[in-house]
Amino acid sequence: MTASNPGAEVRRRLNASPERVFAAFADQGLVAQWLRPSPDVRLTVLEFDFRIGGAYRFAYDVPDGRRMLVGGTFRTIEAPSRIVFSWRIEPPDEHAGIHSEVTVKLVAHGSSTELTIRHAKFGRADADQRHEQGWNGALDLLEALLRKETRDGD
Amino acid sequence: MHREAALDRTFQALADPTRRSMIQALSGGTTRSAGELGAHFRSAQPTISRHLKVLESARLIERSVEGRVHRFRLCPAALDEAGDWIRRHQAFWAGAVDQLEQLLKETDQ
Repeated sequence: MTASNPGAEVRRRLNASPERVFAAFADQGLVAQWLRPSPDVRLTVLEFDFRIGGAYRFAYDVPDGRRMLVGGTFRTIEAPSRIVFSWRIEPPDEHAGIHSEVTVKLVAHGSSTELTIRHAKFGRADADQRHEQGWNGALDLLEALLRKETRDGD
Repeated sequence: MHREAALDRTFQALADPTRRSMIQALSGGTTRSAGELGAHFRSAQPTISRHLKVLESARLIERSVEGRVHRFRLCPAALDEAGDWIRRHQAFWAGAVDQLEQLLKETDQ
């Protein structure tokens, strides 16, 4: 994580057009092939209704036998540049029930695409009314403090 | 859902710039009185008290009372919990984008 990263954010230049990258998020068959944290985690797409208001649900099976279930709805779909969806892990996970939102941004750079995925947590009161500025700042601060703690602990 | 409520309170408390500055003023193990924090932020004392209460109920700070002086210090545990959540999702998406990159390579043309 770099100093400018507001919370959980991943940015990557991909050697593909925004249309191809967008399709990887929009097509159930493609999603099933990559949307997992590592190759040893098995993803089963239980539900995938790619339209605004449509729901998705994923099951992740990790090698130690545990299963994590995640679901949400698509809030914004703007092909081929932006997708926003809610993200909620189901019980009995330690982070179950926490409301969060994933924003995917695709920007063309010649024949490649800059992909940015930002994953932010929202309080229940803020699930509808967003405080983008506030959350960004909060996550920045958290990261700064966590870095500081890590340094202090060394 | 206890953990969810706790995390909600943490993020909610951190959503305000004054409260974030207060956390910063208390970082590094510094202990400050309500009066010192008030002077630092040039806000009215009731406003400062309100912010301190929000931070306290989110368990981000701890209050100790010495006579008439209320002193505050940072509790890193709530920050750690929020940090766990962020780090977990950071790792998830970094890994997923690796998989995506691989898939795009394999399906090129």
